[in-house]
Amino acid sequence: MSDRYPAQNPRVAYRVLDGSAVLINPDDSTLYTLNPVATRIWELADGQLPISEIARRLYGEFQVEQEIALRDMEAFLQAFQEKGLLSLMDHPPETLHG
Amino acid sequence: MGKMIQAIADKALLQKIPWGVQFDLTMRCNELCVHCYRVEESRPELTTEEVYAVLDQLAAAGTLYLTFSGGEVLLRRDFFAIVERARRLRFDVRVKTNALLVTEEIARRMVELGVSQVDISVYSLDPERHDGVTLNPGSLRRTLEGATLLQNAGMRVRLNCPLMQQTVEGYQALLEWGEARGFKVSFDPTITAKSNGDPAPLQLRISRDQPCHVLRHPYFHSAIFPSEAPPTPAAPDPADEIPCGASHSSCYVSPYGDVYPCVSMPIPCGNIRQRPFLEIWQRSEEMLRVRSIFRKDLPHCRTCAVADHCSRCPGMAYVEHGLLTGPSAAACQQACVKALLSDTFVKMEVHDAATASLIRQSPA
Ligand code: SF4
Ligand code: SF4
Repeated sequence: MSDRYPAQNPRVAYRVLDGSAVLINPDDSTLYTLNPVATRIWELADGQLPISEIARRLYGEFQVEQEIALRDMEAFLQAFQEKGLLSLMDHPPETLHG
Repeated sequence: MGKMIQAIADKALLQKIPWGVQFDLTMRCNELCVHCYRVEESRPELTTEEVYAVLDQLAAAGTLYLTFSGGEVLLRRDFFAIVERARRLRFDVRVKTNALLVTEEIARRMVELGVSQVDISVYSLDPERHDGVTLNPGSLRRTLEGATLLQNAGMRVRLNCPLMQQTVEGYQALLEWGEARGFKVSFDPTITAKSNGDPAPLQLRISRDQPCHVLRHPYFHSAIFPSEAPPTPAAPDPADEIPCGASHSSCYVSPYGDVYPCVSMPIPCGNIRQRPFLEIWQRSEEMLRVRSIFRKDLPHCRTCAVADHCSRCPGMAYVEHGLLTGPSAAACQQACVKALLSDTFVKMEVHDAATASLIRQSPA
């Protein structure tokens, strides 16, 4: 996966409850709960940060090996993209809109 | 409730997060339903800006599930601006409406904005009966048209029918009609007192002569069903230890900015125009009083033999007898009949369906 920019689908309802994000996709009413690491990825998926930067932060915050962080994160992002919960953009929105 | 949803609800409950909030946006309505709890007051309703401020505060307090209700929400000109704001704040938004004003355009916007469900009150498939509840001739036809427009636009629509004297005859036909068309259909025997505490609507509750009519009186239970030990074993689920989620993980905000533990519990805890929401939620004396009551504090219910069949609403108990810790006559009545019939009627998972089944089998 190239260094893309994960961005939450803004339609997804969510709150962080006790360190775990609870997500609801309004389009199919599916509910997801994320573990703390996935929650952090979700929170950082604001479209502004590239995957490499998110992995670097996870490494700092959760003491995960950067390579493992990157690998796990790519799997997570892929799965979440397939579920329509986030998109992986080639550029942050600012770049796109000049 | 699914395990995951239950676990989340328990967490919110333990941490006292107002996870689910009903927010009535207006008391104005284009129907005059005979059982309705709304009372229009002379105080001004919250302005758009005030509603936005409430939404911001609810988001900060951790609310996820937000239900906009009323009155008729579509009578507010700023309704879509409010929904848009709420969705931007990442609430899961549900809307209760009578659907009279729903057009194709309105249905499309609701879907676009990601409203997750629209709840529509339908009282009967018989226009005379339905319109007899709403006191608005032609309302059944327009409501069903609105429901269909929403469904065609891709919205999840649930038809809600309160079970009361006027609706009890026709619920089966409504259930079949709705389900055949892909609507969720739900029945609820809970009729709420008026928002000012006036219990008049409660007279419309179903009251059938039941096989155990002597048991109707709440205080007869333990005499007729002597119980040695508390019927509910100590369960680890925190939800089992409290009477309900009101004040623990849910509450109600009125169009005038009053905060209540629940729409069914007319105990005003503070007004958002005077105090921030979180302060009311965390510190108001009334909210804390409701929150301090556990099942073990309910003197009658604690040892009641039919408690397993009971879905007591503390708000209802309060309206009926002025006591948050007392039994609720309505719940007692239903629980007794359910207990007596429990061998003969097929227990359905859904509480509403169970009640419906109960009524069907209860001799008139
Ligand atoms: S049981 Fe009654 S008071 Fe409690 S949340 Fe339900 S309706 Fe409200
Ligand atoms: S309200 Fe329910 S638990 Fe309480 S006494 Fe009546 S039937 Fe029993």
